[in-house]
Amino acid sequence: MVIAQLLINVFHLINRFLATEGGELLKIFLELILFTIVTYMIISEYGRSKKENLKYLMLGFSALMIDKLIMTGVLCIIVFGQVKLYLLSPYLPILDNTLELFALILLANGFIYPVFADKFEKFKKKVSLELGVLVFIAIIIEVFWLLKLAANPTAFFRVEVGYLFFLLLKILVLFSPVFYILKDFNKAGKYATEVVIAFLIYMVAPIMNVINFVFFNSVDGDLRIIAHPFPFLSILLFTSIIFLKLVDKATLRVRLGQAKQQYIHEKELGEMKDDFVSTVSHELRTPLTSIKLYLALLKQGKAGKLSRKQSGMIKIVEDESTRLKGLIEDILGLSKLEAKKVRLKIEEFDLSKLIKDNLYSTVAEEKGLKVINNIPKKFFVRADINKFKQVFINIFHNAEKYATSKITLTAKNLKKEWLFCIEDDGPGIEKDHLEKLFDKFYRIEDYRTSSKSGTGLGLAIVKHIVELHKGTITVESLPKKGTRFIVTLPK
Amino acid sequence: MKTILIIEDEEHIANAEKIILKDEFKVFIAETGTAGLSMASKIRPDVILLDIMLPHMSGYEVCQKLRDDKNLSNTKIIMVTSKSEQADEDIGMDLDADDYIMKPFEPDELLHVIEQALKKK
Repeated sequence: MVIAQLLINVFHLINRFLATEGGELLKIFLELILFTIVTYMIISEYGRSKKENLKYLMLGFSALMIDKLIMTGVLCIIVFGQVKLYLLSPYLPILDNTLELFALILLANGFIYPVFADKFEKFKKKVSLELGVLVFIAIIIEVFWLLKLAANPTAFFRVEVGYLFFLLLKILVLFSPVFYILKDFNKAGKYATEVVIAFLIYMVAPIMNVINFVFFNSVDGDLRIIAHPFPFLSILLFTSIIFLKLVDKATLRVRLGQAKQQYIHEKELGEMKDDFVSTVSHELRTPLTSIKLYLALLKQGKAGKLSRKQSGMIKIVEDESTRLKGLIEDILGLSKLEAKKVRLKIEEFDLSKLIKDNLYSTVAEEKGLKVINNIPKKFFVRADINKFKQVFINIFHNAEKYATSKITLTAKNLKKEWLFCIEDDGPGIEKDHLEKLFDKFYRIEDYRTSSKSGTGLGLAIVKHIVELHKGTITVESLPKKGTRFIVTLPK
Repeated sequence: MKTILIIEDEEHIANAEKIILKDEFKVFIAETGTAGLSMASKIRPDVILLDIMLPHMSGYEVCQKLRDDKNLSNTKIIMVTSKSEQADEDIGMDLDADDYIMKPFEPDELLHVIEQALKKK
């Protein structure tokens, strides 16, 4: 209790001190320092980002800084020169109030700018109108005040109607951002609550002064003393908001810079990878061309007749060179797809014809597989014909590797998409493998088949191509029941 | 008998192509772009098989110079590429090459593409 009483007494003492001219000088000087720091911070940020809301905040805080600078000078003369306020200038109270209101209008609009972000022209008109009205009222009050002073040179502005006008105008200006922010709170951005609180705290002093003026007709009553710290508290809050906002911006800038560096690095790596793949592909294709051409010439008997054993061996070399060619093409193809360097040539074509033309397979024939083609005739789809051919061939080759007796092809024309299925009756795929089936170089032959053919890239390429068409590919499978690949293409 | 000029720096490939083509065409080989250009202006071949990845002067440059030579306006140019970049194909076609074939190819493919190029007017 004693401590509480002590604290209250200290609070009263501070308040009473702040209400004196010396206290006011100290308060305004502190405000001047705060506004100078904040203005400097905002000007620096505006110089970097040129953001429109910063322009209003910069002008607002600059105006407040100038106001506080003038008032510091005036109060210094009053405190240290023992001069009465009214003797300094008949314009001074009007100038002080006008400057403060001018600053508050700009500040309020700087803080509510995000709410008007998509209605910039309306926003500019609103600010211009508010400033115009302020200048008009300031001129009227100035004229009124000069006339009053002419009649009574010792008149005190704080007890005049002009002062009340300024107070009411101040309340209106301070309420305006609270209204706009609460009306569109989601658009008001980060720290909207703190901004509202800061404006409400700032509003306490003019409200108390209006009550003081209207009900007590008093200039220096207790209410005015109590009201003193509120604008200062509000300014502290505004300063911390601006500081936090600028810290956020600086952090964001650092993060964006890091992200940009990362992007450039990844792009360079990607380009290096593309160059590497392209060069390796070239370097492998050239000797492979020689191998394939000379093998063909040997087979044609251009270097003499081959024995059965020699022909058998050449067949093995030929098959392996064909596999190597497939691997090089798959690696290069996948690299291009991953680098998004593939351009689709979308056109309408008959899927049934495409399938029919590419259905013949020596593997299926050798294994005695029955291929059941249930795709309706004249089944037109829109896609890149060459890329879709690759999708079909890759899935079909996959199916014929594992099918035991048949492969079934079906297609459906749905409302929003075309659906295409290839189904085999092979050993099926366990659930654990299904998730990784479209991964690069993922192969599960070890337990399903002893076949060594395939590069492990075919299904990864299929997935990329289908996704490039904005379609989907899914796989359904049950061990010992078979596997079904389902491709959809959007219409 | 139609004449074919192979501009290819890989000796083994050039020789294999020559063996494949020699029964039906009169075949000449040049190992560089410069040699190819000088030989082309001398023999005025019906078809030029032009490798893209040549030392010193690329196949694209050679193609451009061949197309600038009015004496070779009837010569068909087939670009032989080991790069399957779509852009490469586009550049080849922009330079007015008649066709292209991608390494590695089979003898039948080579004969087919030459046959198709010769049919072009």
